[in-house]
Amino acid sequence: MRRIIINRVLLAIPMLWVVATFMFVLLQLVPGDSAVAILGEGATPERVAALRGQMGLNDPVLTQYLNWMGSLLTGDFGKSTMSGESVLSILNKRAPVTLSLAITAVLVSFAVGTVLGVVAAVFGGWLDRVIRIVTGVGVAVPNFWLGSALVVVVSVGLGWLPSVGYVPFAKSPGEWLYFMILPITAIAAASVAAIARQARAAMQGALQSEYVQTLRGAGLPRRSIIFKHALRNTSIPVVTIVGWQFVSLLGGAVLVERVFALPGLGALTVQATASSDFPVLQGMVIYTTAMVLIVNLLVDLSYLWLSPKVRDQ
Amino acid sequence: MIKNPRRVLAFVASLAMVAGVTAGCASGPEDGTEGGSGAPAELVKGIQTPLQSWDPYKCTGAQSNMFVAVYNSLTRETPEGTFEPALAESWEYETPTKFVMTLRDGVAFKDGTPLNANVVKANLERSVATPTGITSQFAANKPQITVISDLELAIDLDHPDPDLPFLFSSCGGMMAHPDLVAAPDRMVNEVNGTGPYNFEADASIAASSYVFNKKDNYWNSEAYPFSKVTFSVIPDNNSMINALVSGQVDIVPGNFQGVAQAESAGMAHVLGNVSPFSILLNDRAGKLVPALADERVRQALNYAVDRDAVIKTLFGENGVPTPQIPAEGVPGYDSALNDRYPYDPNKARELLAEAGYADGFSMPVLTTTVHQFDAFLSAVANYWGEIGVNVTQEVKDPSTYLSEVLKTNYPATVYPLKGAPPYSILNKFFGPNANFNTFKSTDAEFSEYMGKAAGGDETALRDASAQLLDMGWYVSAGFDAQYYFFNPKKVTGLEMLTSENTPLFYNWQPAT
Repeated sequence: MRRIIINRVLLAIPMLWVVATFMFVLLQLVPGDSAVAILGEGATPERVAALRGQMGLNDPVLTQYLNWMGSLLTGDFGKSTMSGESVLSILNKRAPVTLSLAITAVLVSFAVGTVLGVVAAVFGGWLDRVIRIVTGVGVAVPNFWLGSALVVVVSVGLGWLPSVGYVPFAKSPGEWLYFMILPITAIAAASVAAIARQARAAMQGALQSEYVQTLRGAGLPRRSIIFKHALRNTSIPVVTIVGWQFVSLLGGAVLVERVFALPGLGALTVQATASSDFPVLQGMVIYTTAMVLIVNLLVDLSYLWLSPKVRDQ
Repeated sequence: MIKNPRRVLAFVASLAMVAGVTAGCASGPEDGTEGGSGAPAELVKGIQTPLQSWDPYKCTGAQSNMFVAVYNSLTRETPEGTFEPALAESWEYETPTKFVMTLRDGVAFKDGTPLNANVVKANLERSVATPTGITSQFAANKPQITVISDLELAIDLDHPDPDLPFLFSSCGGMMAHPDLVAAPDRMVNEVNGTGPYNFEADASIAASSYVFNKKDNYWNSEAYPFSKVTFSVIPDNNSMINALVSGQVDIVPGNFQGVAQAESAGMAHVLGNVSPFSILLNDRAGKLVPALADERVRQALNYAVDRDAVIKTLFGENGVPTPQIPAEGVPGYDSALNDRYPYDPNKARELLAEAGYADGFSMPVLTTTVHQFDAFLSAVANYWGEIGVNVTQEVKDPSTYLSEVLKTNYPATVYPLKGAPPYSILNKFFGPNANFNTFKSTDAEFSEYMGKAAGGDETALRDASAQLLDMGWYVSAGFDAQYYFFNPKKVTGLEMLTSENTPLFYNWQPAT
């Protein structure tokens, strides 16, 4: 396992470099001038030129690239052009919001989706049909629309939960939950549906497999067959889709964070884009890429734990 | 089948307990006091963007009220567009280029450091050295600041600017502690001003909520009766209204589309008409579009637009259709100019024919996708199309829009002519060296009027405004309608400013 972890970490380095380089090139191609964005309407050509010089924007592109990569290697993501604050400091303030949202949503999706999928596969009949219809709707409904609907019904109509706001988990877990119930529901709904459909299909496949037939023939109790044997094999495709869902939840957070006014990475992306704050955007891409690589590593490690076949390979 | 109903009941009961505990976290009284004890009230205001820095020169219009909580500016703008003493107790222009002010005595920072002329000089000199949109107008005037006495200082300007009281009423006139002025990088996270409130970092949440508690011995305490003020970041307009209606916040910005929902929930609003939605016809020499060189063509473009319909479509009943830039009640306003260009497509066609463009012409116009700029251009382009002027809409990304507007690539650009008193606006958009006057058009008569207006001559300012209209240097449909919705059971006393789409945080009172 240690070898696998070392291999994956070593592979992550060139991956991060490629993403960082791609992002740098992309932002060079994007029209927009940080100096004009900072100076605003009073941006005389002389002051724009002076500020561009101060910011190093007049340097050759290769020099800018090497300077940036050099800083990245020392853990320096640069400073926001709009506020002057360290990009890493900004990301460290915003990331817990998005991560707590995405991780909780993934855990909820995993738990609820797996239960729904297994129930649908095991019991079949009308229960299966209902779950398939509900999950079909769940996959189709956009999370920001569901978020808005929840706000109108639960917050504005019933007054049960807040429509906006955030309290860090470390500050007050109870308040964190109070503010996050609706966002988590909105963002997790589609994942629950996707995981449930995957779990249902995998469980159905497992229940029809030869080894399950053999176990049945050997007289093992049904509960033991489902929970000890079939569920374990069902887990591998489910874990795979959970990894994908985590990545898609990071993307989906942009809109959900806006609806619920959560100060996460999604909201930061919108703000940095609107103000041409390229160092923040570059830092964010590196940051989220690293998160995705870590999640992929965890998914791979879970395969090892779940499947002896993979361990042997 | 449920095999163990007791377990289910226990789960439901625990969920109900969690809901009860957490609901208690955010519940509060609906009247202006806390728990009916008569204690000073708290207030929550929604803002759209998080704070980037505590440096006042990096504040934005929407955030200015948060800066007002912790900093004092030198002057204070009133809703009538006049200026009152704040840190500066009095001021005058000794000459059009020499501004003298006397500071309020007895004002100090939290650590006892007095606010004196040296502190103000250091702040103003930093503003000249700090390149931001807020400081640019003052810095461009190359001011020389001289301390006359402990509470008096003089500012010598390179050229006349009658709007220093305005500049000093905004974030550009806010005074920070000298320690921060000497090390401005610290202002990213630190704040130290002489304002009515202390920022409570521990009670605040980064990029989400900013909490302020009132100072005990503030010099103008009556104007700030709320004991605690929280600014809550809510980027989305619909979420703002939802938060107001559900009782989470007490004041939010919005637009006319939110009026029905707010009113049905018993909310009130104040209204500002600040931004003249306009198209700058910059190519007045006809370098890109020869037709624009003819004054009659530019006048025709003005006659062709039904301002009433455009403004009503974009902003509802409360927009103000007018072709002029100065708003009613501020210097330079002339009610007669509201009828300078009535909707008259036949007159427009006649003018085009006289100018030799009876069959019309085509031109590209720059716009972007925020603040309804694109919808505004579409509406105007429809009217222009009726007189044979075909518009190609050049839509640019909002992040690059300003830099595109300041180039000479387009004969005409959509832009709101706002953000300052009328003299500064006319100068900023049409002055001979103005950034927005991209092709550097000049007119002797306009310059003469502006020269007199720089010395405070209001008649000359009206004449300058009229001259611009006669020359057709721009087409304005009129003023937008910017709303602030508020809970009248919590707060009263909100009044919009004439220069900014926001009610200044001053003299807001708890509802009784």
